[in-house]
Amino acid sequence: MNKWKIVVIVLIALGIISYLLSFLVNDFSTEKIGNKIAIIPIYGAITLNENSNFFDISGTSTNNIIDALKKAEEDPSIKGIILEINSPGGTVVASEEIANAVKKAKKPVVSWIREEGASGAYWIASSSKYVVADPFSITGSIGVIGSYLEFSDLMKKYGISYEQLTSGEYKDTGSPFKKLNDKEKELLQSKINKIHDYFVDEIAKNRNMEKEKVKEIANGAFYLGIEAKELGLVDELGSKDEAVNKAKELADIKDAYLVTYRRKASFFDLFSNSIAYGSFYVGKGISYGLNEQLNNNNFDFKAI
Amino acid sequence: MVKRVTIEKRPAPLLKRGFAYIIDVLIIDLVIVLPFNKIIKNIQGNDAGFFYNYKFLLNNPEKTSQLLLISLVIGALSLAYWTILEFKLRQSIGKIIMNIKVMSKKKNFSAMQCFVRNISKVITLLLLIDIIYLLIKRKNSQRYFEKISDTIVTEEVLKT
Repeated sequence: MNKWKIVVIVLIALGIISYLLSFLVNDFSTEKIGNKIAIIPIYGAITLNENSNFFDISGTSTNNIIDALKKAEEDPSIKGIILEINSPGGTVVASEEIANAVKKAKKPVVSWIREEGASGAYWIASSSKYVVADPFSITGSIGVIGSYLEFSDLMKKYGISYEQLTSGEYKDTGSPFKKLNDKEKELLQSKINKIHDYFVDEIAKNRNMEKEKVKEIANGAFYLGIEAKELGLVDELGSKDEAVNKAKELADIKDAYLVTYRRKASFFDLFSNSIAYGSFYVGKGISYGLNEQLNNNNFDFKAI
Repeated sequence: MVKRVTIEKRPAPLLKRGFAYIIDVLIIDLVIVLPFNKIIKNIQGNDAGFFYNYKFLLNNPEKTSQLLLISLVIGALSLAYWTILEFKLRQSIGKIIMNIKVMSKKKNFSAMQCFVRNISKVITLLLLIDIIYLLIKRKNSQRYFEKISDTIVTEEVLKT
């Protein structure tokens, strides 16, 4: 028989055997493994896009979380989802997109706030079916910030002038090279108020609370887990065990294996993160604000 | 004038053998491992790199047995791939492409010899021993399991 004929026959035979055995093993695995609960970590600042900046370690991008939620929804062995939250919040749009995806999830979603689940991160937590928070975690902080660095005095000191031709009165509002006038301030404040109102509305709906009550506590102040429980912002005080037990209860299962959905870390990520962590926390306020400003060159709203 | 041409058999160079091995591994990946990929991902949740998976398996010993079962099946089928092809043809696909052949140092060439010489390819620790032996005793051009199975990989060279 021809050499290649034998090769093809052997490959086809092995392929078929492999395919059939994979079915057998799959049955065995599913039977033994049974139900799973997916843990999706939400760490650090919540942004719309994954940052490619070497010195920026922003933790969570919308796409990653929504992809993880989609994967968990599609996997029949996953019966419930836990959002492991340790985040100070993020941009309004990013937080809202994740919160909407959580709301749309067909499988029960439990949020577990560890050290921090503030502002945009709390918005996401509130959209889940149940919120478990550590008693000493930082939660709430329902408010909106619009901030940027303004260099006009510094430029004046060095004899640099700013000239920009615009066709609209507000076109260069938020430029770091000029001071805001009263009308511009009023305009931006009105946008912030609108976002704040929407934010409050969402929290009230998600937590089944009266809007007026949420408005009272939505002054930007953060609450410890124990205070948040009293105010009705969280359902239970506890840790991972409580979150897992609740997820099992909502999914109506007795036992479950936990599966953590993590973004695959490349060597570059590990290297850049190890360098960036130190410097990030030293100059967090300045560098973060400056970086955002330089990246967007625009006024930026953050649910922080 | 008629030139006399002879075919000389000599131990295959390491580079050719290495490439043949890589080709075989790629084919095994495609034919044998691929159907199991989904199950492996299902067991692990998602692929988050070696260190994460290692830690995950340490924390979830019950899943280790599932992966072990899959590893055993893949290992057995891979061993069958090399054993059957080398017994039938003296060559795997990688060896056909690199034009090298397995020869027996005995008179007969048995399936058992093929089985023994290839067993180290599916057990990482044995493969490590094999490669170290090959590098130390380069003159013999034999891996340890080739030595105990009385086989050698050769290439044919035309000599005028």
